[in-house]
Amino acid sequence: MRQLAIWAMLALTSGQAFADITLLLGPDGNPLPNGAYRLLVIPSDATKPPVNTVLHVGGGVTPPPPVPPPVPPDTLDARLTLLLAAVDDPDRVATGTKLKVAYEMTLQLTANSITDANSLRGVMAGIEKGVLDSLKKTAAWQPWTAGLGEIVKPMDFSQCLTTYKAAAAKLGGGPVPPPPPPPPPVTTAVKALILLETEDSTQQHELIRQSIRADQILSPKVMILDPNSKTENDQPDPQVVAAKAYLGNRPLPRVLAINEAGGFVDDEALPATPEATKAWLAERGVK
Amino acid sequence: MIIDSRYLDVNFAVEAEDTGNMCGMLPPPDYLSDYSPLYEASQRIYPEDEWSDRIAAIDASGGWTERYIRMILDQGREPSCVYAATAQATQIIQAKQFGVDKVRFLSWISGYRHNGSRTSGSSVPGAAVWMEGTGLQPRNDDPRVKADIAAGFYKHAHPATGYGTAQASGWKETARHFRTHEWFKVTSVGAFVSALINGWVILGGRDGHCVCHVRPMLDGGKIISMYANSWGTSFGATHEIAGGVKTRGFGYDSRAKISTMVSRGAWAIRTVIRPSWMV
Repeated sequence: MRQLAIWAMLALTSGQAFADITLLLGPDGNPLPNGAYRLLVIPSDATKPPVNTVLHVGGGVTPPPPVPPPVPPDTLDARLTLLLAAVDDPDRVATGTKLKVAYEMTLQLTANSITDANSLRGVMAGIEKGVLDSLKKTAAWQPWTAGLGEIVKPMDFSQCLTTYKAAAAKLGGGPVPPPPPPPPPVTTAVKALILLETEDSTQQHELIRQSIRADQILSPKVMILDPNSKTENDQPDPQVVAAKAYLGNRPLPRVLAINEAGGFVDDEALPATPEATKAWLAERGVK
Repeated sequence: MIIDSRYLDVNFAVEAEDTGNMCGMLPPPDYLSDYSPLYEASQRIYPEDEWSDRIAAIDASGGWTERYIRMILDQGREPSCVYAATAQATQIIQAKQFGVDKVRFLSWISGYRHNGSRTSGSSVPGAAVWMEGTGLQPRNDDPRVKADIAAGFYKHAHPATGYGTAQASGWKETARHFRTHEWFKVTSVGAFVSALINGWVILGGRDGHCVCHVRPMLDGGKIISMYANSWGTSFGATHEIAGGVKTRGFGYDSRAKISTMVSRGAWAIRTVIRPSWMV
């Protein structure tokens, strides 16, 4: 029956050009499943060539799997490029140059005074508005300012800084430098200081304190002091004074890692939980 | 948390008479009644509907500031309870700031004998003034103190008790190493409980006796405060202190007793001096 069907198909197509049809029939007379089969012939006579060929069963060419469309790379450069392309300003180059200079000058002027992400975002948004309002280009550049605002919104200070520098570079038409790799965490600390304003301390802070103090190995390595700590001579505690100078404007409560020489080598806002606090300390060698 | 109800709302005056212990808290003199700033003026007071969850978190953590206590103190038969409780509170704060292993035991009699007689007792704000200005000598039976003296950090240790024991010349130069920084007055039940929730220790008194309150608890849904007494370990309920040691010496005050204490003045100590050699 199957053979009759096959011959019927051939008859129907007679006279028409068609691709070769390969049928491999099994012992039961039924065709083998479609697919690629390899025919190997090892000649007994060395003078004859071996045969190593693929037989495609099914007659047609199996179409290759569809290639998914390329996904645009989600790099900072790509995102900034898209934002800039969305700006509808006939004076885009000139406006972009003014904005670039404003970004760079602002970052330079605030390099030592702004150390937190919120303040940096606020200042840069203010500068953008000032420049664009003065040029009457605020609406035209809204895709750029809104988009850049969304990019930096969840970032920490270091990431914000890198992004604004990249944005300035993009406005200048230059290549966007890749963000620097994050520095590896310091692992050479041997002690730590937690600066915690007593009057701002909460139950959660006490839970963190208790967890540290219950750890007989960790506890001796961690001081937990009020920023107004004094010595027996009623002088400000010199280590606390040094810590505050090191931290600058970074807000408390803060955990600081200290190396063998007594220098501060890393710091962070006091983590929210005992586990995160102990993990931060351990990563830096305080354990 | 299950409490030992035998030590709830103890009448200190009666208990002292029955057991041969001493009290020794006097009302504050008028000129010191408003000595300290109010806790309520600068700290968040937790609403009462938050207490249950917050205390549950304390219970879940296994303990609270009583775990900073190195030992239960024993004032013996001297009316020095205010300074004994002050010594305990100061030692607890040392543990919080520097670590339990760095606590130096303090001689409460070194302060009391300048602020009370052999029989009179003393006031809590008077102790606040003393602790902020002069301090207490460290105890001469503390091995760490002996090591400090050998290292030259200071010179003058003193026994914990013994009203009549003279202090060595120059002792104030040592006592200044062991001072508190600032005290707050607590005048409401809400502030009292909130301070305990935040890990502060409170000196509170009633029935002529002062104790060191260390932990808020709930007993049948009702707020109580656990304190460390200074009557040694022959008094009180058993709880775990530093190093996993279980010891007697604790009691509990109900809301009514807390109200009594805050109406007369309870005090929370903010921080202690960090001596320059404390590393």
